[in-house]
Amino acid sequence: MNRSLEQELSELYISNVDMIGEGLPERVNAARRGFLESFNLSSLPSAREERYRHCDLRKLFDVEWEHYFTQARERVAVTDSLPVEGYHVDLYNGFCTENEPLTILPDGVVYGSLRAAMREREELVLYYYNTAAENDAETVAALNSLFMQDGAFVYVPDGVAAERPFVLSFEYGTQDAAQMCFARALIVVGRGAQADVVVSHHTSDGSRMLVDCVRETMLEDGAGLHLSEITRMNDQSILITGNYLKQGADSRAEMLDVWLHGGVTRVNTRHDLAGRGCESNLYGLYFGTGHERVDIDLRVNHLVPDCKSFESVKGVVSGFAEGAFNGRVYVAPDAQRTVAFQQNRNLQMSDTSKVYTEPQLEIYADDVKCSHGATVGQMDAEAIYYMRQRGIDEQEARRLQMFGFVNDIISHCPHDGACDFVRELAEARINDL
Amino acid sequence: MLSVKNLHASVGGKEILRGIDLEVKAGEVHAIMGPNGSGKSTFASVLAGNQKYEVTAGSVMFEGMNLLDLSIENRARAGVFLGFQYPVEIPGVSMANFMKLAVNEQRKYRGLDPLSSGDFLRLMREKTAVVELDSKLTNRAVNEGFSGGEKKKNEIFQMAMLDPKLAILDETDSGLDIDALRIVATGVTKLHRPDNATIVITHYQRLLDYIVPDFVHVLYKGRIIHTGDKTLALKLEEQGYDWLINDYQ
Repeated sequence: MNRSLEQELSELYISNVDMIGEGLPERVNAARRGFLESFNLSSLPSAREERYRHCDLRKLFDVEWEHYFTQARERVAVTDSLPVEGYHVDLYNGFCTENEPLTILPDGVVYGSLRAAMREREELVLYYYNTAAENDAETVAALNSLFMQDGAFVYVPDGVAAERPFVLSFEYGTQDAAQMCFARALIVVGRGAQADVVVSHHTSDGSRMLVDCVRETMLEDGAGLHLSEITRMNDQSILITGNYLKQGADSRAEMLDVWLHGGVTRVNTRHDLAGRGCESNLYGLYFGTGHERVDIDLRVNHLVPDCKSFESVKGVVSGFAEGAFNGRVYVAPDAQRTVAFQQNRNLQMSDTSKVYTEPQLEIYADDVKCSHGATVGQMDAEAIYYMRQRGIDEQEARRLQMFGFVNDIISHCPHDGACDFVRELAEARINDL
Repeated sequence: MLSVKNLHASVGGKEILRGIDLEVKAGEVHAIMGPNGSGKSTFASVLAGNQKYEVTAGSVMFEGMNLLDLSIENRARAGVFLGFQYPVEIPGVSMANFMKLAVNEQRKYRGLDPLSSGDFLRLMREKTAVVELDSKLTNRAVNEGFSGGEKKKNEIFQMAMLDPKLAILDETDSGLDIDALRIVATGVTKLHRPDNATIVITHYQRLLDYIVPDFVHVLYKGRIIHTGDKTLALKLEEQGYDWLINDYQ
């Protein structure tokens, strides 16, 4: 009986295979057979699987989801763009405007539709495409690679510092039936190049959506990346996203990920520190109210010596919301002199909300400096009393304390334009908790 | 200014204050001393409105208002300031923002317009000087990573910013070295005026070398068992509390 879910999805693919592969390079389509196989071999994880204990994908997929292979996309224009100046790529349900050519700047920067990039820059794109996503291990990633028709593409060539930030706006919506869609992004920062990327995932209406998203980010040696990602989905939506980052030697990534809203949000983050001397820093913040659920699975793999990683993820839950954090720092046998720190801190605002947190270290090298930590706490009554004694009313004191809690995450926003916006959204979110 | 009559308070069913009577007039400095566990900090907390303590009998009038009817924040806005024995850390909230909010909430209560950013900064600069507080600290999160001395100076700095009618300093001297003690005490003295009053709770006479009290009260088992002038503190320093306690019993 359990097989039927995979069979249905496989049949959906097989009966639409021509439409899915239409206009895409033969090599991309040929690889899909492998994804179909690996998808069929492993089933969608249920809550019985350790890593999906708090997010039963079988249940989430087991709904009559409609999927449209030919979206109306004469002119994709997102309605809720981020207020950030830059090079914009707009996507609606995973698709860019049909037949819109890539933008190629004089300094060699390329951005636009992934579909267009596969056609116009096949060699370049396929050199990186699907080299970081875990299509073998992660069923939802294989499913995404199976159905992929379009996405966002960013390429900054060696030695170039992109002048403006790339703003990737993934908007989702549907007027009718519950819809499933696939979103994809490929971001490549060349040797010694520098890129700023701002990503938004948001729904334009209150309709039911299931979004399976894969973002691959590749940093070549000495590359620098500033990335902010902001998620604002409606409370009927399900967002399952795989964020894959692969870093070359001496590269550096500064990332902020803010999950403000969403019915169910599942995040699989993988950072492969694959080149000596690279460094990655991730600040994450999630909010859960009502019956929202946020489940963050964060793996950092130190594969070579002399790399540094830092992750701080904070969560605020109220109402009946659930937050889960499963983190793991892996240090390979010869990854000596690794410095790694991971922490997850949560503020639980109601007795009916839940937080599960499990940071783990898996270390096979002996000369390392690694630590991790997790906390789940309530508002500090002493601090509220202290603030009230100075004349600040109780509600304001609570707000101030919550803001203080999230402030050390959002203060690390790496984008001037996006920071004020993120701060305002977080403040607004705190005000309705 | 403050009139406390037969004040009883308990925590978790255990009675700590057992009938306190105290009159404080504008311009006065009162010191409250007493052995450990006599109820000194409880008395301060009850005046500030800490909800941990339940008032079971008695009354507290402050400037003609029934203080016990007011919320914690309204007591503060009416002019009651508590210098905490253990100032609380508030991560992620800068001192400057915290104080700006507090000052303006209090101004609002008094029907005044909020301070402009420029006026606020000027006020901060002026008041940090009173307690020789490193002005860099005002950019840091409230009390976070402050040394013991800095925390206490920060309490007096806040007192200076808020300009209360009645300041209650709960063992502000504990954990201070002699220099910090001098700075804190001098700060308190500088802030003293004929129209405000101070209650200093302390274990040691040495604070009273700098802050000269008009009255010294000895609290024992939740009651004021003896009141004297500043010479009482010296006598207590020499002879301890036993002679008073023996008399009382």
